[in-house]
This record gives sequence, structure tokens and C-alpha cells, in this order.
Amino acid sequence: MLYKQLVDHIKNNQEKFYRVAYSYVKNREDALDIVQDATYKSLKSYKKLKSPEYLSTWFYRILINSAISLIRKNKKVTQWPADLILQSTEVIYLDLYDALEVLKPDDKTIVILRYFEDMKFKDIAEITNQNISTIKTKHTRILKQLKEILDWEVTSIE
Amino acid sequence: MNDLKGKYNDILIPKELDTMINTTIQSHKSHTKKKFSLIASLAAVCIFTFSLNVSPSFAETMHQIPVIKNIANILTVRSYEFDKENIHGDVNIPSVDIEDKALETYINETINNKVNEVLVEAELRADEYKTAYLETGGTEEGFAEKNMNVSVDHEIYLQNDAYLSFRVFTHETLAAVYGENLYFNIDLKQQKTLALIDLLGPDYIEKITAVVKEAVKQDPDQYFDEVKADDWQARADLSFYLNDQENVTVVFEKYELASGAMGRLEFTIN
Repeated sequence: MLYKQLVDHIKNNQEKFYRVAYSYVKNREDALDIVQDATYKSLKSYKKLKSPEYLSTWFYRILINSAISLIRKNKKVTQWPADLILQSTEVIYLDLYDALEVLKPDDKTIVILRYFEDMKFKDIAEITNQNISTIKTKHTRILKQLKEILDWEVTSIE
Repeated sequence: MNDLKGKYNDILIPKELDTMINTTIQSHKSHTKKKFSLIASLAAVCIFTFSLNVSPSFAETMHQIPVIKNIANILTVRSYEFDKENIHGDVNIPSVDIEDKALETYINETINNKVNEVLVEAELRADEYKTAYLETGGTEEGFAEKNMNVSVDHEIYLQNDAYLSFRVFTHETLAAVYGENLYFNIDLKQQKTLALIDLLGPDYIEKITAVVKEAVKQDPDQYFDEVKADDWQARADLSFYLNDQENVTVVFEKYELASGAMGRLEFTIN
């Protein structure tokens, strides 16, 4: 039964979903709201799901939309333009997780899914409803942005 | 590229995540069930209404149809625990979801701010106490045995279509006498907070005073002398809640009317 599969999917992966949500907002209350919102919305509309094989992608999409909606609603996350960061010597970004702060919500999605959830570009494209070359182009731009901040070597895309 | 994840994997999962997800799933199940019984009830009402014109005996059965209950789910409860170096905390608070979003925000923020305030102060007090304790010859084990604790909990008095009445209360090992109580009384139909004057009328102080005086007459030894004085009157800003009969119950603080051992005295105004 699709409903039971959805419930199991949520409960089995709740910690992962929480981490994804938390990466967007960096505070517990908002992260919990996002996961709860996604849980509620998915339960309400699970009949729209065509088949179980799309379950994971579909839920991720709801989760990410919930995260981005909350950010827009709260406007709590300040997006610093990358060049502003370069001028400030006090801001230190130790790792990729910290550097998420500078990215727009849509760009955060690509980084979280690719580097924290180890997804292929193909899956990211499906979840975010964009075509794969758009994702790859955005990814290259993001890497350049991050390179400046984290002082990375930009290696190959794949 | 594994060390890229770094802090991502270290993100702490709060204990309330599991509870919250289960509650959300459960609420959805019962909401769906209620929706179906609501539809069934409506269908039943339609059948009866139609039948009224057909047969006189149906008119008699009309008044036996049960009232359709409110299906909105207004309260969610958040529970979590935490351990700081010198104190353990338990929080079990409600979060409100109602039509009037400004009122909703006010209530939820009041509760959350109170929780934060209480937890921060409790932690400070515990830290200071520990320092003093150790400096005056106490041991780590001795301190650990004290089981410093702070808790924020709640009690729901009434929840129906018309009203929501609950309190949030705090308790702290080091400051038991300073336990706080926040009362929330909401008129769900008008989407506003209730005051005593709304429920008991402009002469509410007289009404409350009369009830208290009657109780004092029944058992005079329990109360302080000043309450027995002719000119004693109840405070205008008393805390109150609505009990399950929808009656106003006022709450006096400890030591207000009688010795502390009597606790916080309550009087129901019918």
C-alpha cells in the first residue's frame, strides 16, 4: 500500500531529512518545522504519486520546497554576495557546511544533494524539476563561488 | 571528498523529531477518519432532512442526531530533553494552530520566549551554584546527586469548538518557589484572548470576592486575617482558566490568601 510505504519511507529516513532541512536553516526549530511540513504535505497528497519508484524523488522535492518556502517566509537566512565575503577578513568559512551560508536557497539544494547526500546530477535534476545541463552549469558556477571562499582547487565536474 | 561532509554528519538530531513525526502521522490518520465520519454525518443529515417531508416519524428522530464535532487539530505538543553540564532540562510545551495568525504567533512566541528565558536563567543559576558549592567544600559527586533540573510543562483545561484553555508552567530545582504559570484562554469563535471581564461581566471583581468570602466563611482558620476583613477584595489581574464545564476558575498565588502550605488556591465561579 502506497500510504504505508510513504510512512515507512519518512520514518526510516527522518534523520537524513532533518539534516537536509537543517543545512538550509541552521537552527533546530525551523528544521523541525520543515520536516513536519513536508511530512504533512506528503501525507495529504500521496495519492498524486504515480508509483512507488518515484517516492524518494517526490518526497525530496516536497522537503526542499518546504525548506525554500520557509526561508522565503522568514527571510532569516541572509544571502551574502560572494564578493562581499571576500572583502571581509573576519568571516572564516572552515568547510563546505559553513559555506552554505553564502548560497541562494536553490544553489544550497545542489550542494546539499550532491555533496551531503551523494546524489548524481540526474537525480538532482529530477528532484528539482530542471534539466541536467542546467544543473551542471549551475554547479560549475557554484564551485567557482565556493573556490574563492574556501580556497579550493576546482577539479573536474563529474 | 568525504571530509567535505564534516559537520553535516555531526548535525545533532533532536529527540523530539521522532515524536513530532509520529504525531504528524497520527494526526493525519485521525483527521482523515474524522473527515470520513463528518461526510457520513452530513450524508445522514441530508437523508433525514429529505425524509422529514416524507414521513412524520423522522421529525422525531431529528433531535437525536449527534452534534458534528470540530475536526480542526489545534494543539501540537513539543517534547524534548537536554543535558547541559550542570543541569538537566525537560520541555513539554504546546504549539497552537488557529485561524488568526497574529494571535497564534503571539501565543507561540510568548511560550517559546518564556521557555528560552527560563532555561537560560536556570542554567546560569546551576553553574553559579556549582561554583559556590565546590568552593565551600562540596564535591563533584555531591553536586551530581542533587540532580539539578529545570522543566517547562503544560496542562490543558479545556479544548472544544468554542474555547481553548491551558497553562504553561515552569519548575526549577534551585528556584522551586519561583515556579511560573502562564495561562492562555482563547475564544476560538472570535479568535481572541479572553479576559475575566469578558466572561464574568464588568462586576467580575465583586463576583469573585463573593465566592472567596463564602469559602472563607466555611473554613475561616485556613485563611489570613486580612482576607476576612470587610474591605478585602479580589485582585483585578487574577490568573484564571476555563474548566471542563466552561466555568471560570480563578487562581490565587501562594501566600496570597493563606499560608504557603495551602498552595495556589483556586475558586470556580459559576
